[in-house]
Amino acid sequence: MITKTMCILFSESYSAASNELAEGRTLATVPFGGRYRLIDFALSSLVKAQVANIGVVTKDNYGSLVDHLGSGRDWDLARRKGGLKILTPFVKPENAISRNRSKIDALLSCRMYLEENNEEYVILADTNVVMNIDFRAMVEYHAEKGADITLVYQNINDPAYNGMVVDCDRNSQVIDAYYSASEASESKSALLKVFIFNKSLLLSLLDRAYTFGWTDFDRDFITKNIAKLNIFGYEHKGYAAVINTITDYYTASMELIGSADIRNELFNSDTPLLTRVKNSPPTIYGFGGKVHNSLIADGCVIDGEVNNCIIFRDVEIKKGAVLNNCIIIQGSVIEPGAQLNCVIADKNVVVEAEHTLSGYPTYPFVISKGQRV
Amino acid sequence: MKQKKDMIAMLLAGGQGSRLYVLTKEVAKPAVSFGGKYKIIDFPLSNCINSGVDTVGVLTQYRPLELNSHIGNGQPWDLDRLNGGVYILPPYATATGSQWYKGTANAIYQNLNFIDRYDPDNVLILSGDHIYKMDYSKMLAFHKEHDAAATIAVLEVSLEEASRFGIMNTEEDGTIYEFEEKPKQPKSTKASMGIYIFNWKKLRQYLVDDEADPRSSNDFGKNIIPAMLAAGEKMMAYQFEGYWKDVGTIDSLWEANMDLLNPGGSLQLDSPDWRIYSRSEAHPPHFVGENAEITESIVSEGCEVDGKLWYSVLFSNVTVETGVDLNSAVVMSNTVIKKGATVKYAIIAEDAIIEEGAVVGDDPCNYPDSSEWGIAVVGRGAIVKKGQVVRPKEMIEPDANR
Repeated sequence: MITKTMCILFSESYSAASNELAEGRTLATVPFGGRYRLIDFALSSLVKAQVANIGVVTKDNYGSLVDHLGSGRDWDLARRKGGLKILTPFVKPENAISRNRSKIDALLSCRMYLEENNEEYVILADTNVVMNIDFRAMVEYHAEKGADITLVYQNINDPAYNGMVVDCDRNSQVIDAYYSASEASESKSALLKVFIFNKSLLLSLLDRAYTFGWTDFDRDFITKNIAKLNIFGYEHKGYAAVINTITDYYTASMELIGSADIRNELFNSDTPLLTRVKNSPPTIYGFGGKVHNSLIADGCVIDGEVNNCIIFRDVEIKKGAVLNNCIIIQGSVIEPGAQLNCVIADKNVVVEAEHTLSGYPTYPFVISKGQRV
Repeated sequence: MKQKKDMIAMLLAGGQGSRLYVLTKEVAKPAVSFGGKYKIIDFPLSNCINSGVDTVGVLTQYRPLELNSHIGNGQPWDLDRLNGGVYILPPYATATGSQWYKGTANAIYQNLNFIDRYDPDNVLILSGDHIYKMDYSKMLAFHKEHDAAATIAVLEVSLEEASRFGIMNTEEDGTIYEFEEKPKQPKSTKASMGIYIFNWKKLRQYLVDDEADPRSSNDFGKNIIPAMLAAGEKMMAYQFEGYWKDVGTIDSLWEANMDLLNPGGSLQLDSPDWRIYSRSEAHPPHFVGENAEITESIVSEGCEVDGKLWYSVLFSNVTVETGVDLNSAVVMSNTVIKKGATVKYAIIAEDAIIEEGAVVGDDPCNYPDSSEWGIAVVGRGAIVKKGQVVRPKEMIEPDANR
């Protein structure tokens, strides 16, 4: 059991990338995988490692987040001591302008929460990473290495990746960390934006950040300190998908349908992936239902054809509708005879009868919340 | 003293349900699974909270573990309350000895002190054996309007069926003048649903008197109701219209599950204004594979389906492998049906394994002599071995072949 570790989760990624599904909600609460929200992955991993003191930093429009998390009971985080705490923006006259800029500003605004808890380590994690990570092993690694900071990376082979890359020596100590601008084709160690800090160090870095007006977490907290601090890399060998753009979202969703191994790793490994429990009845299939290779949540009525799709809770697919490679989010209705290909329909969308809509795998067609097509 | 309540409910959940045979060998009847994600007791509990009844005593006796862990603190039904909520009430020992609940009336008698804490005007008596949706607040309004000592919910049944039920003979306005238990020549078709509202002061006295009578079998139907009628108390029949099913037998449990597949049927689980709540775990959405064919069926979370489903109900986490043929089957949670197995007209309980090529149950069309046919049942945790044939009507004991 990990008793010395607390966690701060960021409900936004503070990156410039835009995502239509995160327009009316936080990135943390973008629906994913048929019944989950992105934050469920980080929360479930933390609960599994018995980290039970978790603050979620919010920025704007966090109604959906408050609604989803509630008291934290569905993650077993409604505790007398510790548990889940939603850290709402704390605005003082002197930070009124800066509060929304960066992850560092967010941490400055929840400094009091960090100070009032007496844990030794702090996990800092983005919530837009779809993965099942073993935080217990990571904390043990951090302690064993005597690290000041441990960061998680994943080896990838994506030439287009332009985020932060780390280089480690044989002992896994980080010797370089920089933004990858070149289109190098060789394998890179991409930062997954999950860190462990010694809490006293984090507080002193925040003092300096406040003094010098630092705003870039990766550059100012990591790269600048490589020579001064013991920063270690921890390789995540399992599946991970970072969701920034809608294309990231669509690709990860299709990988989920395409691979039983990924589904098993994310959904079924020793402890279940936890989420807010609702009370939809089970899904009912009618005479016209023809479904292949799809994930279907509870509460749906399926009377049409569905191939390679993710269908969320309480969706109706009416007779004669044909869906290929689509993601249909909660409460949407696809009327009879509609034909959809590579479409993402956000919550409570209606696609009227006999309509044909199509996107492309690299550019899915997104219908925003509550729209009627 | 707790805050006074207008009405509290007492839910009789101690019955074994012996006519469900292998399905109730290890769990009480109210804890038997139903409809993909529910247990029978979810229906009266959800009806309570949906009707505004927020204090419920659940009387348990037979095999209570599953029931206790399902109900827990009552949170899934919003029954974890500061004043009220759900309480599990098992039989208990006292300074003068201990006794089991001798009958339905005795179970309530032993919990007089629980009911008195809330000082209710009325008490609603329910049983955990039935599948139905009912607004008890309307029944209470009827009860108050007639200023009755007792109101009994009744359902119109056919004249042929009437001799299987407790029948209420009433005046035109619903006043009951006679009660007949399973009459050979029924005079009316108003069958008691086992749902009663009593004026608590009156019922309390009848319970005390009944307990003092050593010849009484301490039962509502046999003793309390006749005693109240004999004393000339005002008793009303409250007419219920809608779906109601006693799922006390294998056939009726199977039929009630099949009733859910009827699209225009009178039992709809998805009406948002009258949700049925249950304790559910977070399972992933179900996955439908390349070779699956699913028609007129219900599939719950966590299932993996790559076989053929026809008029079947799958509970959570069921695996149906490639080439499996399911027809009119009810398959409960965590059961695995392996490649090429066939399951027809059957109920398979939780955690069972149907191995490759096994055959469970059969289509009634193949049995011209209907007495030879019936629903096949596989008990909880049982293994049906490779190639094994479980004939119609046959029952496999829990944990067989483990």
